[in-house]
Amino acid sequence: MTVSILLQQLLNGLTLGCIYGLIALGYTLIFGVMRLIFFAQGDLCMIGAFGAFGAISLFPNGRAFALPIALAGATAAAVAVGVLSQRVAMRPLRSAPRTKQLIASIGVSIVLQNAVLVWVSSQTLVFPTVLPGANWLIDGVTVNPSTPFIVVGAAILMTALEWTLRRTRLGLHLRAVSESPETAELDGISVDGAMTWTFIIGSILAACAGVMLCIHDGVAKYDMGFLPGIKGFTAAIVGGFGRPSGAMLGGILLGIAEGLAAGYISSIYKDLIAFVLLVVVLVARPEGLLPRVSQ
Amino acid sequence: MRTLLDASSRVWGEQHVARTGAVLAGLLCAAPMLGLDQYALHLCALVFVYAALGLGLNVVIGLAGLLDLGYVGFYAVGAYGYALLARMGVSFLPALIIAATVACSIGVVLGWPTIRTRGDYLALVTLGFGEMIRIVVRNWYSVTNGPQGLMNIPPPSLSSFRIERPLGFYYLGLALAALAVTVFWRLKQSSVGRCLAAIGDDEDAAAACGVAPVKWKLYAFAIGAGLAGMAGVFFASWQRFVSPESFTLNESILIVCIVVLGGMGKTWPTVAAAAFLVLLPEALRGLENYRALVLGCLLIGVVLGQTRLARDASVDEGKDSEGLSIEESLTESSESAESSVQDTTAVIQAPGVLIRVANLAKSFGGVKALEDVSFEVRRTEVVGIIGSNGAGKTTLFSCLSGAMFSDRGSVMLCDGESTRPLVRSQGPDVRAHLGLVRTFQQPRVFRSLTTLGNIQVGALCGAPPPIWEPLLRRKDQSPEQLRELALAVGCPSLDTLGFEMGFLEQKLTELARALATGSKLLLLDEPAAGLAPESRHRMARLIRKMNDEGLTLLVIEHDVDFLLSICTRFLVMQEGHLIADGAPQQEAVQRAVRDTYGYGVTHVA
Repeated sequence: MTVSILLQQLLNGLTLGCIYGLIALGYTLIFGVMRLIFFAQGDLCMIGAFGAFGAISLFPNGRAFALPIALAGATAAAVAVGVLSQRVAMRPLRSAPRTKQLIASIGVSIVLQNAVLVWVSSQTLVFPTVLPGANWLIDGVTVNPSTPFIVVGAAILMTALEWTLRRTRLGLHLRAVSESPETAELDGISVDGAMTWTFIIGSILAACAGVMLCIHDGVAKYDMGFLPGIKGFTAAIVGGFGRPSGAMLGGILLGIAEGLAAGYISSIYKDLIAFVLLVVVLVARPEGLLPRVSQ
Repeated sequence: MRTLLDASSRVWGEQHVARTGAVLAGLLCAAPMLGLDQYALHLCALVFVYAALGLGLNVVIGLAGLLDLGYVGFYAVGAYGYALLARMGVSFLPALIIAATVACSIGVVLGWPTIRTRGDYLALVTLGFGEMIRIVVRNWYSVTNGPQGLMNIPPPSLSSFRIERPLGFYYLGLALAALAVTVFWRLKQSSVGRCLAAIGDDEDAAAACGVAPVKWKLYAFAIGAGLAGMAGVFFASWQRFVSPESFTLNESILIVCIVVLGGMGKTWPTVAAAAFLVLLPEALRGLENYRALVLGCLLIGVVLGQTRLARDASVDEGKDSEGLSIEESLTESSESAESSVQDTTAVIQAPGVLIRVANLAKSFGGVKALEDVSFEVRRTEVVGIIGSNGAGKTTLFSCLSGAMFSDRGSVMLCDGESTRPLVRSQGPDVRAHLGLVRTFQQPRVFRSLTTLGNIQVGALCGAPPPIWEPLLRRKDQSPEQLRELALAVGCPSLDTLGFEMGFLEQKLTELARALATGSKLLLLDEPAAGLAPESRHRMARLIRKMNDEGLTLLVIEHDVDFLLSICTRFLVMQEGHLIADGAPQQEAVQRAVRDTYGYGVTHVA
């Protein structure tokens, strides 16, 4: 019995952790390339979730394709909003002090949340079922159909990101800009273009994370992005900022730590884990928990 | 654009803070007689609370440069502190003092581990702390009554006099805001404030001239937390009810917004921004939902606007610095500085080793930046360090000044009779106190301080101001002496702000600042790089003059002629190794220089 409780908590933690990991990937990518913390990453998830919501209600008859419709709607909404906020708020601050960038991106976060609150809905909306099937019970461990979707989805996105960064021309450009924007610019790479692409990829990751959050929790609300955003940031820090594989690992680690805390300590203080971890890691090991790779 | 900035700085001139304050305080004291209704009094009190909070946070963000996103946590501590104490029967003043002290102490306790993290990381750590305080308050039912909050908090009473009506709270709030303005302004005027500004501008440079970053950042944190605690006490005694909902992240962001809108380190604009942001939702009445939206847009807009203004200003400054006449700054040079190299050779006989470096090694990953470097520098020697880029010269300076730690080897500083090794725990600020002061390859002046302010920060080295200094009404110590120093170095003006300075002026200011520390061994990193030929000669004369006055110098430079005119000994470095050490005439040194630059020290031969 206790083993199954442990397994259950580990599984729950892994599922949530994959979502945190995806958000962390967005943070890490934008930080890695542009050296700025885009605080509104969690709110892009929320935008994605509402985009999915909108797309599903536009096509009420497409039950069979509910999931692709949701993902497409989420991606479209998040990319549009992500690129727009990049263009308006972040690009002019490209070479400003980082504190200013952070303040501006907090501004973006507030604007996104409250725009949805005022113009869309201030209520908690019940998200329609997009994944068919019932729970499986394996050895006393309940497996929700969302679990394999989230875990496999996160793995696919993670691999796709690594592939893009390592194997494509775009990835080469992004890595060049990450090393030195000035040199990259001299070599004919548009830094503004790289910034736009970074935000597009970051928004896609956020959109997918947003849909996963909705499927996992079954609801959507204008402030649903705040806590996952902080947790995704924590995950990125734990994994060592600027390293994609570290971000995913950090997310899973945080998710599992939360799952165990919820199961064995108290679910009230579950959210405290992320903050404690954030503070402890930033203070004790700001370069992340993974060992440094030497160049 | 520049004139606009100038004009606005004149209107908001910080030098008139006291006068403006007195007038404003008089007006505000009289205002209720004009027949403000209850609602207006209530709004005014609200403005006062946020003005106090904004100024408190401006100490942390504006002066010390620490972005604190969890500031509301200390406000909560003050409010809950008063609520609990007052319900236990403690009267107002003791409760105020206790609650403010508790908030202050929590600021120090939380600040101690966090303050070492930098910039945006610090922002998120403080955000984490703010949320942690809120989550604890929300869930600690036995003490805080959870989400329902604490009700029936006794109103403030001073002996038999109880404050219950809005008019009373108006004056209490006014007193709070006045206290915050006074604290903020005194702090800004004091040497402590200059230390904070230096840290906020450039922490490494501040440490390099002896300012202890951790101590002063903690100080700013504690002052900010204390003011927030007091504001919290006022809030709790006024509302007579506290709940966790008053202390959310949005509240922290509202206060950050006040600081950003008001301007970093500005007194009255911060108060004005508090008034604006508190009254704005009243103006938008019926559109309450839009309040946060407007706030967010404002935050983005102000940051964008300020960045654009700063960019325009720096474009203007580029034009100005073109016009800076070098001739002008050269005229100051005193004739005595025209000493010949022979004088330097004379003093070199002065005995005594000042610093002994033994087997110093430092590597970055696989790159060995320093490998088994050993040498001694004698008192009043000027030693030049030569080497191609990447030879490890600057790393050597960083290891000597404490900005980095060597992997192996030791540095001994000989002070009078005693010789002691410098240890790892001695950071740049401690080493500056011991007399090891460096300058940087790219000059790093404090952008928000004037030339004189920069030099004054340097002069605090060895005698840091006591923490209660802002309380004392004391005129600046020995500015006359520092003025003379600035003149001797040749700074063209005493009150150019750091961000307005041209390249030469930055170099000279940095040098004057380093001299003001009263260092024993000055480490100059490429003092002549980027200077026009006349300025180089001038720099060489200056160095000789400093040396005549007994200063020992270690100078990194690529310009062999420049070094020849000031040094009697060369250290030549190559790929982390010290390949030659001796007078420039020596065969080995000549060969090493030829290996490095492809040409020899022909002028001496």
